Amino acid sequence: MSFEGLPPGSASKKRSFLESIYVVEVARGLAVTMRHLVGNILRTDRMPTMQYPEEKRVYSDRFRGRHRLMKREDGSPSCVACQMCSTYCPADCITIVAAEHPDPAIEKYPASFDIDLLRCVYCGLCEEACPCDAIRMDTGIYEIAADSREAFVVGKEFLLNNTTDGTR
Amino acid sequence: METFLFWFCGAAMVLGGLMTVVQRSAVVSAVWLIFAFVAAAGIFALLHAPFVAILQVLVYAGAIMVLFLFVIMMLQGPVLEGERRRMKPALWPAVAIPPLAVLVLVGTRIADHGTAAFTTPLPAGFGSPTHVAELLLGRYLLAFELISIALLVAIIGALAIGKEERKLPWK
Amino acid sequence: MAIVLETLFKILFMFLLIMGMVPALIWAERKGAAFIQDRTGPNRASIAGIRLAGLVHPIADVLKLVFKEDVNPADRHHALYNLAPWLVMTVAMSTYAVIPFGDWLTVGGQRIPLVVADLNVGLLYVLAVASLGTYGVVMAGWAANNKFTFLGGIRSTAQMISYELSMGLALMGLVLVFASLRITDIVAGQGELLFGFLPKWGVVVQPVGFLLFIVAVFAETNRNPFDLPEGESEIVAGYHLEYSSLKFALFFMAEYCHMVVGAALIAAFYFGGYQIPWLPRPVLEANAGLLLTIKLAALVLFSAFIAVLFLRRVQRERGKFGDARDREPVLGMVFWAGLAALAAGGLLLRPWAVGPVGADLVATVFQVLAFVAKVVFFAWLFIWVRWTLPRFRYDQLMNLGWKVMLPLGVANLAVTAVVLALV
Ligand code: SF4
Ligand code: SF4
Repeated sequence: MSFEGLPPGSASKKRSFLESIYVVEVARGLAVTMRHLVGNILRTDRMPTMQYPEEKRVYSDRFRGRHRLMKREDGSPSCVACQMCSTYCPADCITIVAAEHPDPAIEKYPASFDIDLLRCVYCGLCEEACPCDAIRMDTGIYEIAADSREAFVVGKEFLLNNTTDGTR
Repeated sequence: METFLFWFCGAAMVLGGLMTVVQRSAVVSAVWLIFAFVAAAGIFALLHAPFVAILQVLVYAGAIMVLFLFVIMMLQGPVLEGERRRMKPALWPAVAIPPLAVLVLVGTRIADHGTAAFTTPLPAGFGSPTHVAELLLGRYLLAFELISIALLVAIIGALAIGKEERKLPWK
Repeated sequence: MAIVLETLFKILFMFLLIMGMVPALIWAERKGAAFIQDRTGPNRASIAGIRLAGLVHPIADVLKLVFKEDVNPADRHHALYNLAPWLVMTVAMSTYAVIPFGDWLTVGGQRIPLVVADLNVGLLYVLAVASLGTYGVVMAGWAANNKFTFLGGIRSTAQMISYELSMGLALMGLVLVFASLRITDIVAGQGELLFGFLPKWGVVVQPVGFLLFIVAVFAETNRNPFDLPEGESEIVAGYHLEYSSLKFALFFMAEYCHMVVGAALIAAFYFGGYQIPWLPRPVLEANAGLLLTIKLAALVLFSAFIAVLFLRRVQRERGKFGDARDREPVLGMVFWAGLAALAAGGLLLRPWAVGPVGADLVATVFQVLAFVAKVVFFAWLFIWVRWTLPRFRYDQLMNLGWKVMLPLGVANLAVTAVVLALV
C-alpha cells in the first residue's frame, strides 16, 4: 500500500505486522464500540443527551437572549430614541421611529421600535451602545420560533413586556 | 408446460437480442443483452442443464455484462442527448427476421416431435456439476485447455494492441 | 397440489422473516448507532404517547415515504429509472429461495424439507443472484442522468467486479470441503463433529475463507466500510440520489434485505445454518422434553429478571413526565411479566413428557430458532461494523480487493485442495 497521497507525517508510524493485517485491529475497534453500547444500555439515565423540551439547559447569567426594553418608573420606555443602537447594530435590524416627548428634559421617545429577530445576530452591541441602559438582552430566552417572517419582527409593546425570568 | 416455457423463453431471448441491436444507446443495448442472456439461461434450464443455466447467469449476465457496462459508462458518461432514438423502424425487419426464423424452426420441430424429446429418460445426474466436470476435465480436457490458451493469447494480444506502441516491452 | 401449498408457506415464512426484520434492523441501526456514540437515539415518535423506545419510528418513516411527493428528474431515462428500484428489491429477495432454515417439518407423517428450492447448484445460484444485484444500482445511477448518481453506479460496478471473484473463491474452498454445491448438503455437513469435539462449522474448517467471504459480503451489500456507491461525503447520496418517495423506500428496504441475506448466507455457509452445535437432530429429538423444559425455565427467569428491572424503573420514575410516557415502563413490565407468566404456564403443561410427534416439532422449532438467532446476530454485526469502521478510500478498496483478497483466496483454495487430497 502506498501513502504518497497523504500529508507528510501522517503515515510515518510504521505498522507492526498485527496492525497491518487489519483483522485484529478491527476486532479491537468492535470491542470499543461494544463497550460504549453496553455501558449506555445499562445506564441510560447517565447519557449526556438532554431531553430538550422536557429538560432545559441552564445558561450563564451573561447569556444574550432575546432583547427587552427597560421602563421608567411610570411604565413608559426609558429609550430616548437616540438611534445609537440601530446605528451600531452590525445586522442593521433595529428600526426606530422617533417622536417628540412631552417632557422637554427627555426630548424624544420611540414612536415605534422594531427588531427583526431573524436578522439579529445576538451580538449584544445594541446593549453596549445604549447610553441610558434602555435595551438589555438578559431575558435568557433562546426559543425563538414563529411560522411567518413577519412574526419575527417584534415591536415596542412586545419588547417592553419581556421579563427576565424567561416566561415571555 | 415445457413447450410453453420454451416458447416463452425463446421469444424473450429473440426480443432481447432484437432490442439489443435496434437501440441507439449503448447502455440500454447492454441491458437488453442481459435480458437475452437470462432468457437463454431459462432455455438451458429447460434442457435439464441447471449448472450451465446458472453459469450463464453468473458469468455472462453477471460478470461479463457488468464489465461491459463499466466500460461503456466509463467511456461515454451519463445519458446523452439524441441517444433516445432507436434504429429506423424500416430496418427492424432486417434484424428481426433471422432470429425469429430460427425460433420458429426449432419451435415447430419441437411441436412436431411433441415433448417426447424431453421425456426420454436422462442418465442419472445429467447436467449436474459433477457430470459437467467429468466431461470438461475428462473427455474434452484437450479442447478445454486449448480454449483457455486461446483466451489467454487473446488477452495478451488485447493488452499489446491497447498499449502505446513505444511502451511495448520487446521494442 | 400439496407441494405448491407447501412451497407457498415456506415462501411466506421467509418473506415474513425478512419483512419483519427490516423495520427491526432499521430500529437497531438507529438505536445502536446512538448508543455506540453515547446518544439516546430516536424516541420521539409515539402512538398515544407510548414511544416504545423508538420502535414507532419505522412506522412513521413508512407513512412519511408513502405520502411524499414522487419527484423525478425531468431528463431521466424513463424505463430504466422506474425499473431500477424494483430490480434491486427483487434481487435482494430472491436469494432466500435456496437458504435452508431448518431440517424438516413433519406434517401428517410426511417430512417437508424447510427450504424453498433445494437446487443442486444452490451455491452458484447465490453467486449468480448476487452478481445481478449490481444492475439495479447501475441502472438507477445511469437513468437518473445526474453526475453523482452516475459515479455511484460506476463505483458499484467496479466494486462488484473486484469482490465477486474473492467471494466465489472463498466459497469454492467450502465446496471442496463439503463436496457439494447444494446448500442443504453444506449445512447438513456442518452438523458433524471434527475430531469428535469441534463442530464442523465452515468457520472452523475454512477460517481464511470465512474472513474473505465476510469481507466480500460486506462489499456486495454496499455496507460500510464498503459503501462507496453511496459515499455521501463525496457523491451526495450516490446512486439513489434522484429517487424520492416510495421508490427511495424500495432502495432503503433493499439495503436491509441485502443485510439479512448476507447474514443468512454467513450463517448458512460458515456457522452451521440451523445446526445447533453438539446437538444433532437425533439428540435433539431424544432430549426434546428436557431441552424444552430448560428453555422454558430460562425464559421464565430471564423475563422475570427484565420485568424486575422495569419495576425498579417504574418506582424510580413515577410521575416524572406527567403524561402518557409515564406508562411506558409499566407497559414494559407488563409485557415481560406476561411473557414470564406464559412461559411458566407452558411449564405447567409438563413439557418434559412430550411424545414423539411433539419431540419432532420441538426439534424443528429449535433449529429454526437457532437459524433466526444466527441471522439476527450477523445482521447486527453489519450494523456494529458500520458504526465502528470508517469508509475505505477508493484506491484502498481496489488494493484490498485485487492485491490482498484475490491472492489470499487463490492460496486458500490451493491449500484446501492439497490438504483434502492428503487427508
Ligand atoms: S444584538 Fe447585535 S445584531 Fe442584534 S439588534 Fe443588537 S446590535 Fe443588532
Ligand atoms: S441606544 Fe438606547 S436609548 Fe438610544 S435608541 Fe437605542 S435603546 Fe433607545
